[in-house]
Amino acid sequence: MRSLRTEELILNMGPQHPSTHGVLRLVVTLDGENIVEVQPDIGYLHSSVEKMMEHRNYTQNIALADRGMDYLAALVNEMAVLRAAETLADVPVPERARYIRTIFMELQRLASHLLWLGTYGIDLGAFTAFLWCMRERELIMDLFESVTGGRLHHVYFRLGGVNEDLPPGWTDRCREFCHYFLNRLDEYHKLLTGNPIWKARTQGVGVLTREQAIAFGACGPVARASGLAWDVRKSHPYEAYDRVEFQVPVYTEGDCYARYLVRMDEMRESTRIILQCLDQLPEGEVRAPRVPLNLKVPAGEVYTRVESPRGDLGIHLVSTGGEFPWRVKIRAPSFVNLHALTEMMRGWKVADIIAILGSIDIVLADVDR
Amino acid sequence: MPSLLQRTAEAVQGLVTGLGITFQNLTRPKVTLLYPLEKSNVSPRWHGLLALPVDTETGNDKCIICFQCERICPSRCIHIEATGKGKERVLTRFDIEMDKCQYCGLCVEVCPTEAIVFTPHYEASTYNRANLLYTLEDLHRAAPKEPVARGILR
Amino acid sequence: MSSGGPEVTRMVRVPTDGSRVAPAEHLVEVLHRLPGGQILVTSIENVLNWARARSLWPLTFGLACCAMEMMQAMGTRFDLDRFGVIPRATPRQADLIIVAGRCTIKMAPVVRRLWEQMPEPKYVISMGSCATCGGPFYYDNYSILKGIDTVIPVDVYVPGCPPRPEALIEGVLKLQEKIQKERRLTRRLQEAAQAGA
Repeated sequence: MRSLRTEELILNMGPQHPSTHGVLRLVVTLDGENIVEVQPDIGYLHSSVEKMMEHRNYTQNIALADRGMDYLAALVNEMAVLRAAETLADVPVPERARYIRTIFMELQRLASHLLWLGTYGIDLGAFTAFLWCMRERELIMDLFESVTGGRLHHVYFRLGGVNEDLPPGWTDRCREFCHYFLNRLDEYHKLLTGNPIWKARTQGVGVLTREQAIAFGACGPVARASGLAWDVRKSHPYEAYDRVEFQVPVYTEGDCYARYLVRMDEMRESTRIILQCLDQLPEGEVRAPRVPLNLKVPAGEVYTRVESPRGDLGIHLVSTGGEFPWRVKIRAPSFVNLHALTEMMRGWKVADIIAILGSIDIVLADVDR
Repeated sequence: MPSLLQRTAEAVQGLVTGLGITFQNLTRPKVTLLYPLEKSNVSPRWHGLLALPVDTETGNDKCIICFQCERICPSRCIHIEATGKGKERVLTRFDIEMDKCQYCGLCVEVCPTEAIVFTPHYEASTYNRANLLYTLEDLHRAAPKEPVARGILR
Repeated sequence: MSSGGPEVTRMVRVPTDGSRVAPAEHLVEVLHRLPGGQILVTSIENVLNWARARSLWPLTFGLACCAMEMMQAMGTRFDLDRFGVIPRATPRQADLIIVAGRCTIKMAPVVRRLWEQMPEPKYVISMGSCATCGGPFYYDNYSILKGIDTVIPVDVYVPGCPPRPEALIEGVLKLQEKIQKERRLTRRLQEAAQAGA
């Protein structure tokens, strides 16, 4: 029999798709059901954040940072922008403010990983995970709302500390939430980790080897699941991270299941960090006095980095001594992790696109800024 | 390659464990808030709609027309105009474009007399975008411009 | 417009290429001309509006941060499913589009095409400051649309950055009130009457 002539099909997973987590367009070249190549088309959410930051002073940039870039890691973005300005201007930050900032960044990491787990579950068909993760996220948002006044966008950190002190009784509520959450985390493990369908869809799928991870510059849980032990909180500690004990989970398989396990372990470690910070929280003021809202940062340039839930978020700040920054370049972790997508997807089937894309946890506002 | 029996046992175990956790939730209290009938208590610091509440003693708002809120707003949505000089300044226009506002709270932080504050209101949906421009009377009233919708509920 | 016989006001233009008028429209026309027909047509409209308001199926169209609050609104605490709102992934099966988040100029033709692919009757809720007017991204910005109503007509605007899930639910309730008051069939009859006169 003559062999069948097959052609490659170019499939467009358009900007509107329930599982692309935002407006990402993937142009997939298929040979039957096998993926030959995946070309991401980005830019559908480009908000010209770096240009806008040049026309706003550093305090106004806090409001822009927590919605223009990665909106799921709002407080971490605020920290990134402030860390660059505070390093260059040598602004003192009181100890209590450092601990409060650490607690809030870890709570933000919990909220971000919960949303990732919920949407990853719903992509792979586990609808229960979505509903439960939303329920836990509501509790974290309640904790945020009683301190910062916002559920998703906070504008809470300031140059030299945080805006307001914690209300009375908040530390007890936070502790109660942490203990409740550790029980819930065990439930998520029971629901998903041992489930044969979950394992069949994620184990061995979308492998990124250690050499490939280094070559692409991957960071965050994607790199840590491939054996690359890189965490900014350990290598360049900031705020109170050098005073608390926590471990950084590293797995070597590099598949979707390893990335899932890394994030689940990170949630447990974040809860431990929050409990330790609550125990060590010193008394004192939460905002350095006499730091003006329209601070003039002295001329110079600095590159600082923080660990966002997606990876290594770097800010290159160039200042010419004025009230507005001259240039802010944001090194976004999702943008770099997205580059590894074609390598990870080659050779798998169409249904695995969703599993692999979900496991690298990109946020389109972080990719496009 | 595990045998058929092993794979079946693993699948059944996964199913039973998962369903057990799911059915446990039947016995737990429900967390759904029946929205228009029950409203959640927003925290005292919630960033709701902005307002210039009227001071009961003086019968006017506490604004001293220093323009600090207009200068700090990152969205440039506050527009203030005043006539007169010095202490005799009179406010002629104080508009806040609620559709541009980011509810960031910088204007509330910077106001020296706490004239501009957040209210707990958040239900301000409207059919017409022009209704989202809040003038001085709307800010004095400290409430959304349109009645809160109750939908098809009686 | 009609061919021969007494002048009759038709609800739709009689097609001159020999194709048929849709039976449902023919039926409404017939009912309208009965004694007490207007009340009957209004009752039919109330039933149709009752059904449309209680089963709005939105297109899952989250662009940016407001999509997170939309997901919370569909989540456990603020269950939008109580109002009959079930998200659908394809525009062909949706009758509501909740534009949640900032729309860039690159994305605008996509939004327009999605809106055009939705079947009538369709409604649009603009959620958040960015979809209403560009919001925080209005000034010093070269890539964000200054409001989604530059490309598609909007029925309800929900302000906030991002609006609380309860505020989004209130926006859906406002849309339900608007749908309840619609008079699509009566309007078409009136337009036909004016065109025929």
